[in-house]
Amino acid sequence: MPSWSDRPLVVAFLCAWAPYRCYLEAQASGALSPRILPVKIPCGGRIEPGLVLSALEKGAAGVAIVTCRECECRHGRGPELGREAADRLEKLTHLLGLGPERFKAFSCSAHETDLLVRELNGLAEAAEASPFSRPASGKVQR
Amino acid sequence: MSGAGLEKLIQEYRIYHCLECGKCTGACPLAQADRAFSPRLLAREAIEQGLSSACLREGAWACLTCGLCTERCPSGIDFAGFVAALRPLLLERELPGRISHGGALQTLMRLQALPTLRQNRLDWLDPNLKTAREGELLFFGGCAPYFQVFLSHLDLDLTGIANSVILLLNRLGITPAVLPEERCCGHDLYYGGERAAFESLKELNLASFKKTGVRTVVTACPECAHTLGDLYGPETGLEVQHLAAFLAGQDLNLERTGQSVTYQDPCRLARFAGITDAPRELLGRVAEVREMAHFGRSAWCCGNSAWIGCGRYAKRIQIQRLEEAWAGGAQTLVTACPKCLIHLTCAQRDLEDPGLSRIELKDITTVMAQALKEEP
Repeated sequence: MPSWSDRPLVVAFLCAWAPYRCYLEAQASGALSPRILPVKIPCGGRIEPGLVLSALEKGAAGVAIVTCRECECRHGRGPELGREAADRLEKLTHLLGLGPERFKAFSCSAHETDLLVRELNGLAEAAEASPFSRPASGKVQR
Repeated sequence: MSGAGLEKLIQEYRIYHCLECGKCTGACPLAQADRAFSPRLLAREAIEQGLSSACLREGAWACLTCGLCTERCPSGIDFAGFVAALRPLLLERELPGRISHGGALQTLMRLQALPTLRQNRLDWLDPNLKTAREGELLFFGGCAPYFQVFLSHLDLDLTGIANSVILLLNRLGITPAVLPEERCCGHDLYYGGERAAFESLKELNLASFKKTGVRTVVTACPECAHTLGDLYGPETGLEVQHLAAFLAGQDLNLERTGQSVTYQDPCRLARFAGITDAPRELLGRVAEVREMAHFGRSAWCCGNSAWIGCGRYAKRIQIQRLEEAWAGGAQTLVTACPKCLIHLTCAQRDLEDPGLSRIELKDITTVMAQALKEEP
């Protein structure tokens, strides 16, 4: 079983198009923090707030939603819908007292690997420093 | 094959007393919408087939726990209580129900059970209102701030209801306590079978109440009132009242609107707490009250409870309620439960009917606060 310091800390929901391409490039170059768990999704607009909240409940210290840029979406309204979900999630995490170090949403083009690395690594660092990222912070019971 | 847990529940809730008369099924709003659902049949399946019965497993999650069956039952069987007690058994066997919104609302409630949480839940508070951080009378706002954000597409002012409660209390010369460390009451987790999370929320809320010297709790939500008053148990010593009951008989300086309204009795207020006259007395002071075909303790549920199993049958019940309101000729359908308001508004948003979509839906708190005369 991996130790706490080896476990993924940030769950990154990545649109299968531009963001996931950037992720593969970043992964190959070793630029991305090993504490990021990628989840490839068909479109950034399909993310449900419940999925992000569930990731936080199950122990993710941080969650990111990464969509394509508005003019580049292959499905039309993906980034717009992803932004709407992100707006609600930003407000909900604020209500819960979980700061911006726990949730982030942004867009990137297929050539913006540097942006993806910067944002996700920044989230992983902030999440690591957050008191909620420690396993003893409390256990959610059903 | 019932299993020891189910057998115990059958004994505790006196399911053997079922006469199979079918009055429960005849009254049940869900059975009118979904002919396959029958409380009578569920009682029989529980005794004869136990948890191996698919009919029982599905029916236990479909039930609205509205309690109308108990109203009609000659044996007085608490069927809603039986279903609520059955659900943890089903969860133990990994047989969950169909949860609405991908379970996001339940997740928000479970997250509130984390002891380390430091919420920002009072952002909605109108700074012009008088509130305190401790005191004997608490206004319990519940999940309104979370629903306001999560259900923003419905364009409802749910935190406005909370501000209206405080305004009405202020006009009576009361400065209520509001607590930043308040948590969800746990109603939906209790009725969803998640008892451990419910107990955590109960413990955290009671600790906050004790720390701040709370003795009386006023809510705008009948589900919160039922949970804090009944499910937390009498040993808490709390006096819990829904605002409609709290305001009854109180002297408020109100202006008549000249509107005609009809009133949707929430299940937890009308049947669980037996409060049907107080909201009507309040509404009667400001508007003409017209009744729907099903009203008072016989009122139909708004079609959903605990965010479980929303679907075509729930929508059918909700549309039936709107049709009853429309048939009565009322301009506004008023309810005393924010959840009823949410569910009926959700159904109305999907309608293209020129009549039903014109009915205005409001919470009683909003109606009363809007009818307050300006202070000199």
